[in-house]
Amino acid sequence: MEETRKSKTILEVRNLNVVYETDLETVYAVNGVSFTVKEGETLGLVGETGAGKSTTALSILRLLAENTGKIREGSILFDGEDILEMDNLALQKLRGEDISMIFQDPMTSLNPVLTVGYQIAEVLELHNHDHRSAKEIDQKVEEMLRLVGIPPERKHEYPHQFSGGMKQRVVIAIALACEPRLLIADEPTTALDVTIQAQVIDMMEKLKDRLNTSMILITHDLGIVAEICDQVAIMYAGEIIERGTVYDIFESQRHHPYTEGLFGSIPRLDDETERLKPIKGLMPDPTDLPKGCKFSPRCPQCMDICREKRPPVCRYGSHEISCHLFGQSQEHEGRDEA
Amino acid sequence: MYKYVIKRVLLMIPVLLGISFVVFFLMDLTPGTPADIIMGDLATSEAKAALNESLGWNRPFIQRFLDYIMGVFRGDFGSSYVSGLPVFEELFSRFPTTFQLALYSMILASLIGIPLGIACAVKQYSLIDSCSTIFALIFISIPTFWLGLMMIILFSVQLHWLPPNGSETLAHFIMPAITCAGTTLATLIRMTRSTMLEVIRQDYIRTAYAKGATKGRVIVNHALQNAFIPIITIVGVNFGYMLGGAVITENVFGMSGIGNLLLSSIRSKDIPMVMGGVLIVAVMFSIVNLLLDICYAYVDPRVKAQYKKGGA
Amino acid sequence: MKKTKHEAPRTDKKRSQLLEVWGRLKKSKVAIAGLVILALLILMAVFADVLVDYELAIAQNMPEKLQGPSPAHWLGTDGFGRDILARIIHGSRISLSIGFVSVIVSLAVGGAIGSIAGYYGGTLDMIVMRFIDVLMAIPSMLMCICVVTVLGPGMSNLLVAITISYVATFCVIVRSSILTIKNSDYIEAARATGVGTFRIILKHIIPNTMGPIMVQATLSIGSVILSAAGLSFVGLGVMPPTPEWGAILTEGKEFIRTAPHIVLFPGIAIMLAVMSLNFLGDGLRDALDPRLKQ
Repeated sequence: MEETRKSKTILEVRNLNVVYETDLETVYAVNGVSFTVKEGETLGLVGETGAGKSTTALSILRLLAENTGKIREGSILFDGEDILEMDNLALQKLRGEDISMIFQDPMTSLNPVLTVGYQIAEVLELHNHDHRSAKEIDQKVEEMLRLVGIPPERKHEYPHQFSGGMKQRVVIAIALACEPRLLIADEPTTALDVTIQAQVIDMMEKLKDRLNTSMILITHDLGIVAEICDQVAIMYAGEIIERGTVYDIFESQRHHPYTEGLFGSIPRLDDETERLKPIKGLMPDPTDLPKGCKFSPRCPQCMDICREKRPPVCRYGSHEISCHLFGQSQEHEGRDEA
Repeated sequence: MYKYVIKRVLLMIPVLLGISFVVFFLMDLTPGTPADIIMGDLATSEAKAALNESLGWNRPFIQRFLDYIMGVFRGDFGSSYVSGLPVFEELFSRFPTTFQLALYSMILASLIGIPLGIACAVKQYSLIDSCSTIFALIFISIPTFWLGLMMIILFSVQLHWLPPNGSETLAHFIMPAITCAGTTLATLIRMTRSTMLEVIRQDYIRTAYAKGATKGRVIVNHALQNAFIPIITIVGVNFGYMLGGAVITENVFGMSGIGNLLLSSIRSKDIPMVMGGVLIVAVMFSIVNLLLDICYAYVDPRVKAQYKKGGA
Repeated sequence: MKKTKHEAPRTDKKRSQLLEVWGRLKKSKVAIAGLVILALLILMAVFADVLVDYELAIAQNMPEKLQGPSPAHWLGTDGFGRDILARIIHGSRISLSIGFVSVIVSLAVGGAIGSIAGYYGGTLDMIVMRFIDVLMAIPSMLMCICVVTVLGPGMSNLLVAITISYVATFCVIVRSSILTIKNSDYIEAARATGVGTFRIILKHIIPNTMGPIMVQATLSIGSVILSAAGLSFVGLGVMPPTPEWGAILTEGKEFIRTAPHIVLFPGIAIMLAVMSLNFLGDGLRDALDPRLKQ
């Protein structure tokens, strides 16, 4: 804990608001999200499908769908520089070199008509500051393949000749080839078999430690979060409703009702109860979000104020919860914690 | 790969046999006997009967069909009822005109259609996109022969810039090539646009951007090759059709290509000529399709892998 | 989007689905323009006799031949002194009905063959498809030419020729959409819950294949009108003096130097009709598949 607090902040997202606009409707995908990532630290971004996790990640690299996705407000500071203010040239330098991304579906994120070797070499060529020769790049490609556990001879093969897990390794090799300072992994294991999932996660963690890369891990798998994250942010309907260290989230007694619901939805062997406690209802329609707390329509502890006012952020040390339940006694308990 | 090509060539044979059968059968339904067509109304019925006998007309249909096919395998497509010349020679002498017309119009359509389609997709909803889309929709709705006639009125009758008919010099091909290219050009713009739009939305395009590649590089290195199969299909299939003679265009501009030959043969009921012409067209069409399939394998490694599996 | 793909579209939803498609179609100016032009042309065809006497379109009036547009003859007269506007109005009956009739017939025949082949598969499918392969390898223009050679030129023969050449196209389209849907999850689900074959075809497959087929049919009517005009132009279609648009145009060919308006106006009529169908077909495709228009 002491270490992470000292190290430098590498990414700071402030009050990010993203919408998807079409002729027919406006989808409010991300609504005022703020978080920071420090050097060497892993942040887990957790939430249901449609909570705005991927949108947040894509916004960091400015890769939102050109015609529809719009960043309405906020700033994303990388090393103190606002990514949202960058021109194309600066963005191209940033992407792949300083920040790189692993996408959700390895099956579709590799170009089917190019060899995997070419696809790894491409990112090296694009950021070839040391003026490496073609041969050196080729050696680096082989080194990257070996690093992710693929025989280097296979660089001449095409994506369709690889299995899902192997494709994801290639994607990881591409993402890490330039030794980026921040790696964004958008559900890197969702599309893979459980046994392969463990391998890939294991490998990513090792590589991250070796290169001292910071990471944002997007997932809905709380098991993975507990395993490799330092910080956790829980998203619901485009907002971060709870944030803290992995201990805050997994050990603390205080939780946002949604987080409790999320944990209640996981089967536990040591639990006496026979049934899971799923969260009732569905995510609100992102084109027509409820006033006040976004979770209020589904919240078992919903109060009148929840439907009217957006909840304040209540801090208990490193632990932050946005909920009216804690708002009233914020001062008192906050002092306790401190 | 070799095995695959050989297999494909062998598979062409039954299709071509089928086509010959259908056309031969249709032609056989034509009222009148060959002698009626060759000798006209003035000849005596005895003379006609004798000619029909010597042409083998009185034998059963299947036997005549088999004879014809055997002849085709020897390179003998029979002789024209009208001129008496061998069908094959006649078709062969018309081929260069048709080939040139097809080639020029395809080059024209590709050079304009593909870049325009790409531009539309890359700048979706921009001015160039809406203009090209409307332009393509209008062009696809214009009757070919009318476009040809309008050009003749403008460039030949009014301005005297281009010769209205014939196929002797390159200038003779300008208007026909534009006329022929019209529909293909419009189809190419629309198809290239929609395919590129589809490809641009793929995850691997996002991966390429995430690597820090420029837009130009992403389009050229990543998107284009993936969009290529539908595009070359359109170019190829239309080229195949045109090799069979752009009947209407050749008619409008009075060109001595296969299309015009077919038309006049139909009018004079010159059945061996029609048979030979249709067969040649079908062969051309099948060969172009085969070449297209081989192209696919070079563009897309997944297709190639399938062939290897299927051919081995 | 993925979710709706796997859900079995219920029939009671069909009405609202149609409304939804209509709602999206209404938003496209181009599609509405196409619909309006098409409706006007159809009205013109239906009320042709009310608008202009058929005699005017047919009877020769040599003293007034080859006149340019004037108040008496809005679009001028042709080589036989007949009013071109009257001929175009009556021609719309023939051109449009060739378009609609041959598409409807070839859709019915090709659709029936294609759906049987697609649904039952196996040997039957194999045999049908080889035969269709053969038909597809003959360019439609040539197919028409062959049929017209045998039957002789004329309107009804033209209709037969065009219908035959389009059967294969529709057969392939219907078969492939049936194959896609047949193998989809919701048909599997319907079959697993014990829904009978006939009911599956009627309640699930037909409503779900209608979209692409409607689009293709709309666009095909346009291309049929074009091919019919083309065949008339080379003398294999409708014979004079019947006022089909292509035939009117052909008759004007010899006067192209002196009276280009005879060629100009019927061409515009053909273009308008085909364009309206293309506009409508395109709009329909976008309305049926909102994915494409993001």
